[in-house]
Amino acid sequence: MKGVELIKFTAKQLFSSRKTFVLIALSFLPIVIVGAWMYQPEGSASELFSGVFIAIFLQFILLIISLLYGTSLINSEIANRTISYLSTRSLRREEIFLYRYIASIPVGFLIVAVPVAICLALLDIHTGSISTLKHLPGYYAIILIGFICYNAFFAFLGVMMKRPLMAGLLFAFFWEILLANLPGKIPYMTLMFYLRSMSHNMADTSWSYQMEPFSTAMSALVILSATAVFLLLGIFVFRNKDLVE
Amino acid sequence: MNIISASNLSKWYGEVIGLNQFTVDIGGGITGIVGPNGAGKTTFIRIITGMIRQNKGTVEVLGEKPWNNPSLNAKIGYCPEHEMLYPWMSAKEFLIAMAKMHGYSHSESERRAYESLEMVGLSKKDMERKIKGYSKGMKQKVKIAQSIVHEPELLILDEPLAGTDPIGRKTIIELIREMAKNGIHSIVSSHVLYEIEKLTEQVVLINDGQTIAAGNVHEIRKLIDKHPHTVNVTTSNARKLGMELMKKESVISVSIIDENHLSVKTHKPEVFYKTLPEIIVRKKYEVSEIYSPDDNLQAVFKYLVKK
Repeated sequence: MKGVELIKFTAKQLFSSRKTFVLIALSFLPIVIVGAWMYQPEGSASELFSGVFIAIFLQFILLIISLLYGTSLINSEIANRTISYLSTRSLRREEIFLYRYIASIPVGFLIVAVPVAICLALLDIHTGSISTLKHLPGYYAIILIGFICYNAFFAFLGVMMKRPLMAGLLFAFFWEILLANLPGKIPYMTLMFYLRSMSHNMADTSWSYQMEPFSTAMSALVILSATAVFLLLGIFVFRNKDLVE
Repeated sequence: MNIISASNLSKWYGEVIGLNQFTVDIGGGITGIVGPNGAGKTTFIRIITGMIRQNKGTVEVLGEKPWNNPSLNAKIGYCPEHEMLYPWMSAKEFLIAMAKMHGYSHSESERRAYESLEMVGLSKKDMERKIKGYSKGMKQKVKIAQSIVHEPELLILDEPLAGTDPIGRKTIIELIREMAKNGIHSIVSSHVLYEIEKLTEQVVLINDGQTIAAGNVHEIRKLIDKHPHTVNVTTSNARKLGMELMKKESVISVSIIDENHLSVKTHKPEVFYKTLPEIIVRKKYEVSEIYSPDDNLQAVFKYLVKK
């Protein structure tokens, strides 16, 4: 009951924040790209959406949403000094961290899930088939697991650092995008590699790496293990943190 | 039984010392924590509410350690000094959420939210409005309401009277007194001694992170009053007024600063403040200003620390 309330409270808080409006607007941008393709089609609808999903939804929008939500979950409460209202309730600090993290996942998911569905629906209406929409569950699974993992990392970053945005941006765009696209075995060190392996297996998205994709089960195992580590680290830091700005 | 027992509490932030071997035992009822800005009041309150952890020493609140202790949180209510709230929700929604996070059902939380907001004097219409449109005084009321929504045993209020208008101040003072009558203990911090005197006789004086004095406010007042009290007067005839004042038993010395200004030292300020207007009226002196540089806590604390 207490935890459910904190989840609801956090979700409402995220939905009511100004950045959510910006993120919603950003997540609808791929619809414009799909619209432009429909006007002057080139290549197949599946190929187009595969590219849009990897380059825009996964490597840009999901990372940005996760960065802004994850880092703010605890960090903004401390910076705004409203953490005192939460930390003096009948909840352990571990619970506060976990429930706020849990709340951030469906909020991020909803923001991305709606334009993904719209894009797929538009493409299938245009082609008169369900060649792309049939992959919707696969795409949704990738988005969900992406938020589960990245939100955990950014939430940890948010409790560990006073100003986590710069480090978060570096992680997102240097580590997760630049390193993930380097040749050789370097991409193994990024979470994006495993997300793209899953995406390739589950939604038949394009594969540009030299090495073979990991199996879905193995990729999920790596991602969920990393998530567990980030959550434990975040909880540990928050449990021992002085809640002063 | 002590409500709060702190022994040799020390807390530092890098090189800045917040509390320095702070020791205090606080009993039931209303207790004022008084000290100038930066004395360590907020640091102490943050420790007893579990927001920060001391570097050294021990502390118990209602017999329990406050750090990461949800069962203790259910027994204490905390009203912070800052006025930050959640602007996107109404006061009623905020209080319902806070009550639910203590484990109450929706209907029970709704009832408690309404009662608490009514107790602090927020109108029904204002309860439903978004907090972003609230005045400073209204926010103060909401902060206090959230601290009592779960009917705590101990209320901890950090500068609750700051930024309130006279009516709001009266409401809050009456509320704390009413809570005390119902057996709810209160710790109230302030940098203004006279504000605390309106609330309670039990005070803890704190300065530079240490306990300076603790006990009955009248005893502390006596201690303070022994300290030669300086009063500066601006008048059209400083010399004549000075000579009149020198005749009075309550006056220790008079310094004529210039034609229009004099400085008086008294060891009985209460008597002096009665005598001075009598002389002014009788002798028809023109006086434009009377003020005491000692009438601030910092001066009192400096005096007590020197002792």
